[in-house]
Amino acid sequence: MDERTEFRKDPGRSPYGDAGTASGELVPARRGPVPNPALVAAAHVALGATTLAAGGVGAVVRRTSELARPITRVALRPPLLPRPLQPVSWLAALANRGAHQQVVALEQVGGLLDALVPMIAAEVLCRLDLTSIVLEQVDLDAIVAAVDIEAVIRRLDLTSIVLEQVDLDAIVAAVDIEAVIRRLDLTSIVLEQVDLDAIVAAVDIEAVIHRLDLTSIVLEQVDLDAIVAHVDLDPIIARLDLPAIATQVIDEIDLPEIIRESTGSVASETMRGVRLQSIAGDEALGRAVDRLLLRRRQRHTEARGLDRLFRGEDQDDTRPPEEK
Amino acid sequence: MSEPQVSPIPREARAYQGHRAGLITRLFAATIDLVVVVVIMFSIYLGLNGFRFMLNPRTFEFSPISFVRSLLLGSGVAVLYLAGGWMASGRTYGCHVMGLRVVNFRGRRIPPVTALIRAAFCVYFPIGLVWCAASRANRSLQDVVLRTSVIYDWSPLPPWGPGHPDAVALPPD
Repeated sequence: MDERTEFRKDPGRSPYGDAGTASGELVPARRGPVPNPALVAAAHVALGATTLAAGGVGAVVRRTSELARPITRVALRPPLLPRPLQPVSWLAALANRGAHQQVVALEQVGGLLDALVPMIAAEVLCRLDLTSIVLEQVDLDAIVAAVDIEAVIRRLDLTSIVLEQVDLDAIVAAVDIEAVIRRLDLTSIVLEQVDLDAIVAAVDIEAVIHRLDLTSIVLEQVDLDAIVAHVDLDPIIARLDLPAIATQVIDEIDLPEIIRESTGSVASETMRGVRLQSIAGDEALGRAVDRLLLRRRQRHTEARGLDRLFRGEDQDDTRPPEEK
Repeated sequence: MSEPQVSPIPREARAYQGHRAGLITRLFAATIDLVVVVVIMFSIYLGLNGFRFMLNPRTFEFSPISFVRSLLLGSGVAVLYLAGGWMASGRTYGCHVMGLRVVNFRGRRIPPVTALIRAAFCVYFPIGLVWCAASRANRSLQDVVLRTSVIYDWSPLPPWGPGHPDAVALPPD
């Protein structure tokens, strides 16, 4: 573990108080609760004493071994004795036997550990709050900073992960699509990214046209007056067979008959005036007689059987003359 | 459904078409018919005298005019003239000028017998025409008795003919 992360100068947490602060000793970086400073100091004293004692014992042993090294060499390899009878051979045999026993013991201990360690570890882990321990003891930020996130991402199949694990419908439902669209320049995106020619080439234009009500679209969206105002009607009229059309219209409406009837029945304005004046005289005389005879109801001058005959004669005003 | 046609009748007169005429219009028509009858009588007189002149020009003199004979002859001519016009097209010349037409109770042409009776009725009892002024339906005494009507019809063709602007299939007699 990196020392910069394992230890840090923390004067405020030194078990030696201000003196420790002045010395600037390195103390373990801990996130958990601070232990009793007296116990920590006692532990450090014991550790120092042990270290000192161990150093003394080591020095004594080294000195003694230097002094006893010639004696030990003669004792292990006495002269004039055959090699198999020398103590060093015995020791070598014992060493071989010990090595063999070590291997056997390691195998036995390994098997035992294989059986026990998972059980013990499970029991220990059950009693530990690893999450809080990790959160308190581990500098996750440093760990994450040391991780090559890009390499991890490259090794992941993010597409399948997202498709399997993420509820995309819920995410999309929560997205304000309109706001997103407003922020986008769709026109430029489409113009730059979309092959409009290919799309248009694949569209069934005739089917689209069949589905459209072109008449109403043109009537609502197109300024026909403006279009007609720009149309040069003279060439169109020149292409028409006006004499034939006029002849057809005259044949349809029977214009000669109309002229004949008009000139025959209502020969002149004088005749029409006389007739209308006489009709007015009829009505005036009828009203006068009705008033004289104290009649309140109007006259019914429409001849029976002729209502159908003259129905529609004047579609603009079909009221009887008396009601006008 | 009849095809739409251009009506030759003026717009202001269309509302009256098919309605029974009043006394004023009918008097105008009767007056014109009277003039026509007088013209016919005068023509007959001139024709007879001309024939007589051709037979004996030396001793020719205009025949004397007898009021009673002229009245009897004129009434006869009037009956024939009126009945002929009503049977033919439903109108005499006076009716033609004033835009009138005589029809029966179905709105169709009156039969010959009815036309003759109505003509005689009108000639020999002309005062019956005055009743149309008092009638609520503008019907004269002749109309009431014979179930006829004198209507405004400015169209030159009879309504029962194919050329009428609003000719429709009327119910059979």
